[in-house]
Amino acid sequence: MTGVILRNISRWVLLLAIQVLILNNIYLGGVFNPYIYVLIVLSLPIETSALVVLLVGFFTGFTLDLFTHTMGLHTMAFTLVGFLRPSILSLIAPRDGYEFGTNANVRDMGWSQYSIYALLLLFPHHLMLFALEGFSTGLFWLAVQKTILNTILTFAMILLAQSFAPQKEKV
Amino acid sequence: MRKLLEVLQRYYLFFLFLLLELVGFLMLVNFNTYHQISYLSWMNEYTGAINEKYSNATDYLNLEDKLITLSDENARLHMQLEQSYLRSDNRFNPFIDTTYDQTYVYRTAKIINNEISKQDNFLMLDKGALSGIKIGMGVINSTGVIGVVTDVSKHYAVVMSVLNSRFQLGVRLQKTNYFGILDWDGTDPNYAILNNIQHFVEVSKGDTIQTLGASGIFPEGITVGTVDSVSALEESNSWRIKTRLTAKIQQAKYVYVLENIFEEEVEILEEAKE
Repeated sequence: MTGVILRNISRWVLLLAIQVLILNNIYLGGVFNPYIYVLIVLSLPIETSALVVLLVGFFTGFTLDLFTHTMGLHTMAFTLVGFLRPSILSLIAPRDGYEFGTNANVRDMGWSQYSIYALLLLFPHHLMLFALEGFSTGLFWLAVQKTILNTILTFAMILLAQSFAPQKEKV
Repeated sequence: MRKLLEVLQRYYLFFLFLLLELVGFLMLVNFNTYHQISYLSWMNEYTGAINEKYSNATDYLNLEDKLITLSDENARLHMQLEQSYLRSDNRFNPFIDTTYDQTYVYRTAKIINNEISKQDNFLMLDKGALSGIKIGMGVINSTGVIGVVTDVSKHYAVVMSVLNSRFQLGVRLQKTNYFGILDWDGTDPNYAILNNIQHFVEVSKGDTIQTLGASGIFPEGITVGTVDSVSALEESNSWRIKTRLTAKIQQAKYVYVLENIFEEEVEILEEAKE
């Protein structure tokens, strides 16, 4: 149990650091800005209570906002992810529910399951983020374009990150 | 009541989610300049329309006061007409303007929302960008200085009132021409504080305080207030002058928005100076 919490906290620190120090400095062509920190909520243990997921989403978004000086922007987008995750997990759950100890990653959930899971969370997150960033109905189509491009990019980075992540032995 | 509690218990996550999003939204529109401005001008279109209806309804109630103010204003304007001046040597002296050109354009507007009870007070006008009102224009009425336009949407404008802790106005003493800065300490809407007047300047109760006109927002020499009391500041060598404002902001209804035609020219010079 302690191990699980420690692992999640170190993942939180590591991913936020990567996001703030590296990814936020990348603006390929003015539109590409991947948001790998979404993985923080995506990778929480499946058994985590909905309340905790929601709060983790809120405070992670808030922390990121403090670093990027965009108060409220990531907070709103990431709270949405925290709120949606439990519903989407139960939506795509296998008929008998998840086995205890299943991790929310490609290895445990399988390619197709994980892709649906990740994309269903990435898309609303990115849409909300870019729509709020533009904050005007006139910029909405630009936001949609950025959402689609960056959802693909972030998804690719998430898969890449998981192939690097330490493989934990199943207990 | 029990039903309500049950609903709350059942959907508490959803309500918590809405609450957190609201917190996020408030942060978004309060701490980000761009979002704040878009949000304000968007809201103005709606709140402005409501305030306007309310104001139209209450207008009739104090019609008489308005009438008096307007006729005063008319009288003052009549006095400035050519026939109000004495012709001497067959030469008519137009009233004071060093370039003999029109410098300020007056636009009338109506206050549709007025606040005086806060620390930072704002007013709303029923005219906006479509009527030529721009950010930074001065707002006065027949009694004195009202404020400066800080935000404009298509049909409405937001004015930072003199009664705002961030408002600062360059003023001078009419008698001695020494100038200082007038600001509001956030307590009494009838009084403001004039600083920066040094101890060697003679100030007495009842002296008139006028606009300095240095920034080009207000014309020079508009009466702002009169000296009410003077106290010495311990830590500096300047007076703290309590000023009774002549403008009755609380009762103001019709105002003039001032456009300085030479504003750009002044700005270019100011920039060149730096």
